[in-house]
Amino acid sequence: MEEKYKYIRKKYLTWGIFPLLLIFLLFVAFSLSLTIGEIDISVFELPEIIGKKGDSVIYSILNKIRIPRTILGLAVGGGLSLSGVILQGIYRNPLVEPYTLGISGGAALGVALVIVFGLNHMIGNFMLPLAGFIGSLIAIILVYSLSLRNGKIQIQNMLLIGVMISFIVSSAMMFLMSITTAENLHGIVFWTMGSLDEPDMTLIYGTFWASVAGLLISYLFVKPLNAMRLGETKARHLGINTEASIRILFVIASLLTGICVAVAGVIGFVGLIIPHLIRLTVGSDFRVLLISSFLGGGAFLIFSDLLARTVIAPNELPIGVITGIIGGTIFVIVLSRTRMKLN
Amino acid sequence: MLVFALFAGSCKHEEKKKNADIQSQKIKIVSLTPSITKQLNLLEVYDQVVGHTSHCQSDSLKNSHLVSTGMEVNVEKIATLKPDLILVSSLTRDKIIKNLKKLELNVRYLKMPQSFEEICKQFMQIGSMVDQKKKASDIIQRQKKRLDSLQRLIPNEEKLNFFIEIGANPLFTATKKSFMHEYIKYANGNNISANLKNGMVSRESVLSKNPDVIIIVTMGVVGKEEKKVWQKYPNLNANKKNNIFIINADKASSPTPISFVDVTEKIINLVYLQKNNL
Repeated sequence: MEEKYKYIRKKYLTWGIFPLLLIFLLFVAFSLSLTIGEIDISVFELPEIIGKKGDSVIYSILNKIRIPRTILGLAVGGGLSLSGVILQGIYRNPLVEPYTLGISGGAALGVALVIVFGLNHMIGNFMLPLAGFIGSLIAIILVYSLSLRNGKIQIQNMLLIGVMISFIVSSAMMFLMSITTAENLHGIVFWTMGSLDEPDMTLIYGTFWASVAGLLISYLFVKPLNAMRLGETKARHLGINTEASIRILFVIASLLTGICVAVAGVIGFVGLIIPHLIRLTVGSDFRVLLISSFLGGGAFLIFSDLLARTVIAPNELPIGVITGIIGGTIFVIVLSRTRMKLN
Repeated sequence: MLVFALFAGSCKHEEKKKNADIQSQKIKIVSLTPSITKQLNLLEVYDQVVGHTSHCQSDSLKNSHLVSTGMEVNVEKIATLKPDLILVSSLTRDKIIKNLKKLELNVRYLKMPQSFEEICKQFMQIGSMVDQKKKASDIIQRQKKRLDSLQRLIPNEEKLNFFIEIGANPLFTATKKSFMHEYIKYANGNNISANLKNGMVSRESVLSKNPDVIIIVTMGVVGKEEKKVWQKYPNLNANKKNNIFIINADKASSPTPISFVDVTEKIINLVYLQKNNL
């Protein structure tokens, strides 16, 4: 009995401390991202620079480059990580990530079509993100409708169809890239590389609020997600409407991915690595997993962006290079150390 | 009335003087495209270039800072350099251009030229932006004359069919929408790929069109390897006539008036003149 209480106390202590630790980490990431760059600023100078408002170079850099980039880092990192953790929960498959279901491919195809047909400047800054979002939406609808059988979702089919749609879409992309001009080709390649350079504040705030809304809505489904860890049948026996929960969670995760990809392009590994790292630290209970993944994903992407900007300064690296190398390495180290401990 | 006229006159004079002062002031330039940097070098304004990419030849750029790799641009660095003019092309990401404009920097987009005329037009445009219109015009006139005299050296024979290879894997060529097509045009040849919608071609289609000349525009070992590949087809006209040549990619792919004429001269020499001298 004593042991059980000890375990519960330890668990809740971890649950209480870990999100706080992540909030602190996020605060550190925010501070470093805003202060380190071509011109280094002290953290204490930040309020003064922001409050002063003027046409100084440092004010412009801070207000128009670093702050938007950092907010987008939190929104996209948090959104993709949350989407990853939800999808891994409903598929009960550790290899699933936001891009497995062809959502990113759909977005990329939408953007490529718009660039190839020269429609990219039709409605200003919004055309490419809109095309990306519509592309991802079509991919989501296809995956969803093709995996329905007798009105019921076939989870395993859904995954396979998603992977197939990814293949079809990447071939279609290759086709478009091989028939278009060199200038359009640059546009497509640049977009698919992914970045946090978005200049439009409406899109940045839109992505941020969409991610926060995704987090809040997903908390309404904590019980089904936890129950489904036992398997769909057992969850049903516990009185969970798995069918409806899976549908809604799939739509939330997919829309979130679609929005993130539409605004920031394809930034890999965040949605796969962060949920696993968080799970290894706090366990698989979705009550703490959802918020921790969101905060961890945000902090990770902000740190990655900071490294991409500074590691070979004055040059910059594509952010995907950092998320892949650093994220992948940390993940392998943590995973192997956990295995060693278990042995 | 007289006082007013004198006052207005002096105002106009001052305004003119101010404009002249601004024009005589050396503006600070950032170039985010290697071919534009080359054009700035030709206009001898390299001391005004304060930012360049890692692909630009930076030997003469003593006052310049590295601000971009092939893929990413350091917007913060550019902002701290406070340039008066930033020259970009399709090689720069759209979002970067918008961020630079957001910082209220003077960004000018230059389209990639598709012909010798467009190369000259762009060169003039850059010339007037950096207050070197006269120099730009002189260079263009000289190169046009050079091109004319080069064309007169070409013997009056039937036009040869050319294939220009600008990528090996996949095989990629220049269509009539590329300035490289004009190397062939000014060398009095037919580009067998002129009417293709896109530059990607199969080796089979090139063989079926049996070009008389193959120009390989690739760097280093790839070029030599490609030459060997084409030499495996003894019935190919280009092989029979020993007309497979490798051209320096760095020069051939940068559209400046001088490099364009240099490359055309090289092609004319290789195809028509050197053989006649043998």
